Amino acid sequence: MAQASLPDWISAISQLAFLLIFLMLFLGVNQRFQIYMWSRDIKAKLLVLENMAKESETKAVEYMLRHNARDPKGILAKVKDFFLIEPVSIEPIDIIKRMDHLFTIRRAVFRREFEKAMPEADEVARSRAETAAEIASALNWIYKVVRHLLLTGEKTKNWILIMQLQLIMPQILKIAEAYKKALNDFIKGTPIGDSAGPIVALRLAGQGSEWREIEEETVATSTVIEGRKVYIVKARGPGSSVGKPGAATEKLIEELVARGEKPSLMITVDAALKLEGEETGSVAEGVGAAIGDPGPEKIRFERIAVKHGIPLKAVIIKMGLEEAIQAMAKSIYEGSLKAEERVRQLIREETREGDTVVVIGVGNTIGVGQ
Amino acid sequence: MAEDVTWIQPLLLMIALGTVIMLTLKQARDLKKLQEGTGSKERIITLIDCGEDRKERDFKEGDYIGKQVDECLNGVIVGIYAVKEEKGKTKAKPRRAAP
Repeated sequence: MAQASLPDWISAISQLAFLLIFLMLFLGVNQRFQIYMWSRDIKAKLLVLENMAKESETKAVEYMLRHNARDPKGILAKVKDFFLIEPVSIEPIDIIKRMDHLFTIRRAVFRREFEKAMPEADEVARSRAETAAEIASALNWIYKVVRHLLLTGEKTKNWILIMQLQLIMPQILKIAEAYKKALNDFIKGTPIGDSAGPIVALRLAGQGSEWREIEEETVATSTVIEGRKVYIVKARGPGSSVGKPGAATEKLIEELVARGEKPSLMITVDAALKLEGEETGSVAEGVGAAIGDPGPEKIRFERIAVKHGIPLKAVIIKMGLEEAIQAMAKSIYEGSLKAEERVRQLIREETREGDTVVVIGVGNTIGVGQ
Repeated sequence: MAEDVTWIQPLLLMIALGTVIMLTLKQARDLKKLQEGTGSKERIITLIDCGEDRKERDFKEGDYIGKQVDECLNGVIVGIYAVKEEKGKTKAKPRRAAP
């Protein structure tokens, strides 16, 4: 009995298709197809990044308008394109001073612009607007860099570049997503993960302490903890600011030494990036200056400690990058309580009654007053 | 008698085509998720120290740690943090927190 078989034309077409696929493998068409698929994937994700950048700009402008800002779009455009040229590093002499000078100018320019644009708003609202504009600018920058790499890869037929970009896109999107969420939290004014250091400082000082402005946007107070005089430094809150903790500590210690009150211990408390797998909010202790600045503030801690022979200790609260810039998670808040206890323990164990100690709560003080 | 196997080739082509279509649809779905944002919902809690006990309530704009509030005698905000919102849970009323 004759078996039922497929019509000849289907068989011919499928054989031809297999032959073509086989030939294309030798001509590198498969690779081109792969590149095409990668580019398509990047373009689709680029669209997501573009939407995030636009959405964040809209939110920043809306926030500024709520505080009667003049020409918020204009100021945002200025912040977006503002740049800072890093100082010459092949001649390292006085590089820290040069860097500090440039950062100070940048900060002053931003502050002036926002004061002009939002004359009716208070300092807290202005600082939040400034941070919102910076986040919108960061998202726009991420979008522009990805677009640049994609277009360069396509233009120069650089398959490796496109492949690398496609592989790293999930990570880039994760960072962009974190910034997008951070913008909402900054606008609301909630403490972020990075505020753990200022929280510890505030808790050590206690309610009702008299704070004085010792440096630009940085305050200091003193208290007595188990018979030790403890000086505490943090950025001035509850606006979005990191202050100048290094400069403030340097000034404070020089004042203390001048009146014969040389500190026996310096402790910096800050949020620090954890390694994947580590527990968020866990606390660790070490030696050195815990601060994530590019150099000018950190070096001040080290120099003043070395100049007067003061032991420099660090207590860190561990968290992920996203957690550091988003609303403080409960585990980080609990970590700050543990860090406070660790600081008290250090003071007890490493100093004697009557000694002087300086504790610096490093980090953005948004949502943390004094 | 040898079986007719000519249907295998078109079947393989159909499977390959089906896989490509499924992958394309998956990619489109992933992108849609990205557009919508993957972040889970969270609630911001303000923790108020009322001296002998502590009170929790939802965060209000203007709250900050160290702020004195008149929701209880000598009330001070001592903590503000985010907690992941559980599915199907509605907004909680202010309640006493563990000291």
